[in-house]
Amino acid sequence: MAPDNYVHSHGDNYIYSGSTRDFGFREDAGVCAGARIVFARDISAVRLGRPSNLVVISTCHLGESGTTMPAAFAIPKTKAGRGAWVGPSFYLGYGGEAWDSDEYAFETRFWGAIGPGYGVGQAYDFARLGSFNVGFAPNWYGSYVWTGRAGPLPTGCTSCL
Amino acid sequence: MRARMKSLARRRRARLIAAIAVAGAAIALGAPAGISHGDAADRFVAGGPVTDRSPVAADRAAASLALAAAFRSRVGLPEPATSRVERVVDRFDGTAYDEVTASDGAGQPVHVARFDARGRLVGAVAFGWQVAGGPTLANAAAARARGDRLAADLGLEPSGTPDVRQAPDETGWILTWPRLVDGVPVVGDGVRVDLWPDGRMHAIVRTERSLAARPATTLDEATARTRATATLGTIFGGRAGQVRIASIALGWVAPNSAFDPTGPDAPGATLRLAWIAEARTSGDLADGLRAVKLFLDAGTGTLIGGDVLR
Repeated sequence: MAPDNYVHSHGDNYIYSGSTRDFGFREDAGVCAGARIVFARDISAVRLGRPSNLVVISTCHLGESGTTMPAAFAIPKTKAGRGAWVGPSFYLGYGGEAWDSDEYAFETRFWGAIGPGYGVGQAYDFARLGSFNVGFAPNWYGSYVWTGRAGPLPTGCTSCL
Repeated sequence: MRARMKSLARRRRARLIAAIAVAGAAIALGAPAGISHGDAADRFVAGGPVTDRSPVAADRAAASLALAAAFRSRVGLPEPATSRVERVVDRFDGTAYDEVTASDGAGQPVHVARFDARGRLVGAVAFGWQVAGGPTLANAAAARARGDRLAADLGLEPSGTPDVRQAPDETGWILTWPRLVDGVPVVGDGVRVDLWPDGRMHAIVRTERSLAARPATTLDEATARTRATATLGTIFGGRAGQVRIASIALGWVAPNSAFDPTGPDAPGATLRLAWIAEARTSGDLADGLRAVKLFLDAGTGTLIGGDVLR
C-alpha cells in the first residue's frame, strides 16, 4: 500500500495520441504554459497496479463518471457505502469545472472532519455542508467506512471505524 | 504574473498541506480532528481547527433534540439509539449552530442536523451512502417536485426556481435555490437539497450570511469593466491579451485572499456588494488556467478577492 497522493493542478480529458483521449493533469513544472501532462495511463504504467490509500485530485474534470484516474492508483471505481468494502482506499475528485475557492473550502472541511469517529465517507458528507458555487460537483470512489488510516486491512471489513 | 500566480499556488498548497498534516495527526494519535476549545471568535488559520465544539446546557440541548426529532419525523429518518448536542462555531464560514448527532446502537453516527440560534434547520446529512431504496425519481421535474415539497415541509423558505442537476454517477439529484437580495445574487448562499435517486433526503444546507451595508453609490458597469481590465493587466502583465472578460455582474461576495498570498486563510464572514468580472483565458495561458474571477468593491472598485479556475 502507498499512502496519500494529493494533486492540485489543471486537469482534463486530454488528447493522448491521435484521436485517443485520456484523463490527466498538468505537471507543476514551474512554467505558465506547456507543462507536461501526466496521464492516468502514465501513472498506471509506473505503479503497476500498486494500490493507494487516499488520493485527492484537486482539479477540474478528474472526478467525472468517465475518469480513468482512480484505476491509475488501483482504487476500484465504485462507491462502497456502509455495509460494503473495497479496501482501505478513497478517491476524491471533481466533475466539470471546479473553482479553486470551492475546492479549497471543500477540502479544508474534509481534512477537518476526518478522524476517530468519522471515516473518509462521513468526512466527505460533512465537507458537502458548505457554501459553494452552483454546480460544484465533488465525487468519490472507494470505501465510505474506511478510517483514513494508511496501510492494508483484512478483506471483508464492513465496519472499520 | 508568473511569480504572482506561482506564489498563490504555493500558498494554497501550504494551506492544504497544513490541513492534511492535522488530519493525519488526528488519525494517527486518536485525537478528533477539527475540535478545540479556543476562542470562538478566532477565524480559521490553515493547520488549525475548522470548528470549535463545546457542550450545551441541558435546557438548550433539550430544545435542539426536540427540533431534531421533528426533523427526523418529517424526512423519515430512523430513530437513533443515542443523540448528542454540541455547540459548533465554524471558523471557516464565521457561523455558529447547535449540531445534533444521531448514532445507532453500535455508536456509529447515522445522521446530523444543525440548527441556528432561531431554531431554523441550517444543515443536515444522512450518513452511510445508501443509494438504493424505493423507485427512482423519473427525471429532473420529478426531483424538483420532491425537492419543493421537502423544502416546504421543512420550512426552508427557498425562493425562486431551483437549479436542478443530477449527481455524479446518477447517485441522486442536487437542487439549489440561490439567495437573491433585491435581485442581486448572494454567491454561495441559499438553500441546497440533495436527494437520493428515490427522493429520500441525503443532505440539506441553508446558508444566509450577513451582508455589509450597500455602498452609498455603486460604480456603473462600464466603469467596473474598465477597472477589471486594468486589474487583469496588472495581474497578467504581458499576457493580458490572453485574458478576456466574459461576463460582469453585481453580486454579494465573501472577500478573500485569492490574489493576496499574505491575506487570511478563510473568506470574510460579512459579504460585500461587488462587481464580479469573470475572464476566460486563451492561447497557451489556457494550458494551466481556464478562468479568473475578480471581485471589485461595488462602491470603490477596489479588488477585494476573486477566484481561479485551473
